[in-house]
Amino acid sequence: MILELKKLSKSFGSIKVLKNINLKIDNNECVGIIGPNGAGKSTLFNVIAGHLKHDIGDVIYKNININNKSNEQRARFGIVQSFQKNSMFPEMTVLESIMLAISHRLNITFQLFTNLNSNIRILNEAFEIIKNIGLDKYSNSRSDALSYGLQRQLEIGIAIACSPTLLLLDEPTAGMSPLETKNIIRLIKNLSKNYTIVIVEHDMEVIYNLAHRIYVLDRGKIIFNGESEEIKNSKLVQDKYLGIENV
Amino acid sequence: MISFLFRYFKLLITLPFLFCVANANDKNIIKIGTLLPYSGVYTVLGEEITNAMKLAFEEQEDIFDKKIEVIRGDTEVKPNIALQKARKLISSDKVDILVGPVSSSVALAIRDVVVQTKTPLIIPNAGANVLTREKCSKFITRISFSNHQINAPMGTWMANQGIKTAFLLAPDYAAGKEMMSAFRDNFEAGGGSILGEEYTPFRKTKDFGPYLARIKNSGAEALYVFYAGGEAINFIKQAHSFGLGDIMKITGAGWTTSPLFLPAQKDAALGFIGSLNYVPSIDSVENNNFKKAYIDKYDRVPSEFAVQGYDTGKVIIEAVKSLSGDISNKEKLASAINNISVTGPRGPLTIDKKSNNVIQNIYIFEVVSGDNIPELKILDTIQAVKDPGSGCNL
Amino acid sequence: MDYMEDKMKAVNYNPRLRLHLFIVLVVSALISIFFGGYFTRFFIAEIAILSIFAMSLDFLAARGGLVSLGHAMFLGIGAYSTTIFILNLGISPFIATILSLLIGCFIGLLISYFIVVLNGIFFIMVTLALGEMFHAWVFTSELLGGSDGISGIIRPDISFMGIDMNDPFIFAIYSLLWMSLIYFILSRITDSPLGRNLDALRQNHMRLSAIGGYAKVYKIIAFTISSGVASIAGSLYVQLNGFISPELTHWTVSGEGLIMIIVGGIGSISGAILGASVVYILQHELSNFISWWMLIVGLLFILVVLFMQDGLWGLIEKLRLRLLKGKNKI
Repeated sequence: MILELKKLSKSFGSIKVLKNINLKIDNNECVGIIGPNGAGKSTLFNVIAGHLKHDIGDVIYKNININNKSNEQRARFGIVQSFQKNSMFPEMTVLESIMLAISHRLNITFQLFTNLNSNIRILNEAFEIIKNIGLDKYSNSRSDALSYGLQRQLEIGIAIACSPTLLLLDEPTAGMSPLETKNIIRLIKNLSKNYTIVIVEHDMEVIYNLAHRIYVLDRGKIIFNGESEEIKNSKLVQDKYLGIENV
Repeated sequence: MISFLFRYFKLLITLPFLFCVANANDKNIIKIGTLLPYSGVYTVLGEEITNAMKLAFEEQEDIFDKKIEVIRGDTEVKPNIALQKARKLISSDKVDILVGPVSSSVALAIRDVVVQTKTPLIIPNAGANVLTREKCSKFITRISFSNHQINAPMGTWMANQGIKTAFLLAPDYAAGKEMMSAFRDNFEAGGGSILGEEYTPFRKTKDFGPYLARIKNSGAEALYVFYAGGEAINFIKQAHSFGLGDIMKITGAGWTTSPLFLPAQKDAALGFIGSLNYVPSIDSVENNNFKKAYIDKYDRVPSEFAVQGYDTGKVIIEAVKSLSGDISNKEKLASAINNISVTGPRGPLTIDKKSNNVIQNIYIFEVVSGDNIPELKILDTIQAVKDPGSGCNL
Repeated sequence: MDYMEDKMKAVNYNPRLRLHLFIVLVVSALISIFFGGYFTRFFIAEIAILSIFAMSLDFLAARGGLVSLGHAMFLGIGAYSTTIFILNLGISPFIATILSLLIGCFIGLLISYFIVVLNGIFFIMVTLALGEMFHAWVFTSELLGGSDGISGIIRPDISFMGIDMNDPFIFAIYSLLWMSLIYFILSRITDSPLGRNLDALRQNHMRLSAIGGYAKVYKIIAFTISSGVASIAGSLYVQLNGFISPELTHWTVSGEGLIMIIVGGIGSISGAILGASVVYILQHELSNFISWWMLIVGLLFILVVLFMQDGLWGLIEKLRLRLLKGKNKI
């Protein structure tokens, strides 16, 4: 077990956004969280990533309670996220961004007088990752010059360069063209062999393709959890979510 | 490496040559370098001094076939900039005499350079006492005043008038404090006592209300105040509307109601008694001629700053004359400057051999109503006032 | 989790061009020192020292993403502590410089601990306020000479090596050595993992936190380094002039420093040196013959901001690219 949420609740003022969430994620599992707009997906994601502090309940990571750990500290434990909105280091090239992320994994970010960009070991490792995320043609392009789809690939690349034990992906295919979506699905599929991944997604197709297990969220509650085939056949979920989606 | 240097060749050669332009030294030109503010808050002062000095030079057609050239150095009222300009004037322009500056901190900044390079410096305004005391030099001559010189006679004079108690008010900076302590020393020596004092943030005080209330509550017979510029205008106006003049005598260093500020202060300044080394109402041939010439040329009434500039010009001319035009030896030039006595618009001036500070009359005046704007009426003239010059070993 | 914030933009990360520009600048400074007169040597020394100050602002702006309008305070801390060490405690000027570096770093560390969490305009206003408080204190302090300042500060005495520091030629070289040392240290830090992380922090602090960066600690380090460097500039400045007055700590000095780095190109380090040289030379040359030179400098500055995004650095980068392209065609 990598991550466990126990009886987790969160409210903004008088509005209860998350109600008594229980969730378990095992090693090397790819878990999807879906739900209609306003179901609390993003809030749940931010609570796991540490951007938001929940009100009641526990977040347990590798048997340690991390309720009070900030986003930064959770990242150092190995919970690394990608953002919904493209959010890289705009002035850095792809290579520089990846090398930067590697410097965090190697814990050398407080070195003042070594040269990061001429470190052969890190350089080789960075090229390996760039190849894996399919950006080898763009290694010397500035991040802000990449297309939207490529930026999302880089976004995931930055996350995996930190060698996370738990990778959180927030709507990895949002706003993408069908071709770009295909690329990203292939990328995540490859990753899911080596990483434990949580994907929050709006697009059912993506989730069906990727997730081993799916949690369905509605109005702050988990109304269903199971494998993708089960969900497809579940009347409840079809009514609550897919029905709305198809209207 | 070489090809790379070549690539930037143009940049390489142009940069250094910006500085290497040396001025040819013409024997028939007397070069006067000014270190005065031509930008920043004291621009008016810099312009007045320069204009009046040029007027003095123009009245003198030529001296032993030599022409006088004025090279302006803008200090921006910043000591570091002034220092840089001083070095430039001395080493690149090779000036014979430096004139400046207006503010004391600038004067102290350039002091060492002037002394080291043995360049005669005539100070036409900066008042810090130390310039002709501990920091005095045979190359530095002050033709204007020391802060002590203007304020100390007023302390004695007021005590003699039978005023027993006073309150001190000045901006919180070195000159403000020097002036107040000069007044205090002489006032107390004459039997008066200081009931309180306030120092307001320099050039930042707009509302004098709280201070005025405190001054009123002190119950002193007189207020002794010093302000300049916008603060002087504000203070005089606010003191007037507060009605302070009805409760006590408002007195102070004469710059507070300088002819530069009177057009803005108007009748609010009436009744103010101050001391200064020059007031426009001095009735002498020199002053009347000067005023006429200055108004003809620049279309405005000269201030005490202009007078100091004019006298500086006069002193330079007399010094050059006394050397028969041979100013090549700077030590001789400096000592010639210090041996000059002239009679300028403000009366007879001589240089104190002990400290190289000017010996001059100090005028006690009262602001009275005039045609359009108030005028300064002389109440008393204190002859040949000296600065003690303690700490100077010339 | 959205965030709104004005991000500081820096020039392209280009260590090669940075070094080239630096070499060109130092070589032209050396030529000027060798062939120039008394004034030129002083002038070069002054520019070298101002460049150190500009580099400290540049480092803070580009690496920390922080714009400080109170950085002249550290110039003042370096200057006044050096003055006190030399005049009141009789410590030798060179050691005084090192000590004032430590004092600058320490005060920088202390202040930054509280203020680096502030962003954009809040940080600017707080540094401005701190700087003005320091200025007001110095201005009225009897110990520090008040508004008139203190004079009579001496330079390092290395006459045992047969070298006279009071010779402007020697002091100009000494200042250039300091400038080069600071340049190499700051370049080194910029290229280090910490430097790259600081760069990333400026561009996107959320993202850096999400991969485990110690955002606040990085910023504190950047501010501390920057304030130490500014203190060195202050310390050298009093030794150059033999004089210190409160004007040096006025916020406009920080403002002029910012103009220098904007003209040079923020984040390029050697661009800061170029900016300092150009702005200072321009100021000096213009003020010699027109009294409204400030207007011209202001207008030029606006033109640079409007039409030259990366300042002179950007211009050089473009020219260089064109030159290289031309070569390749042949």
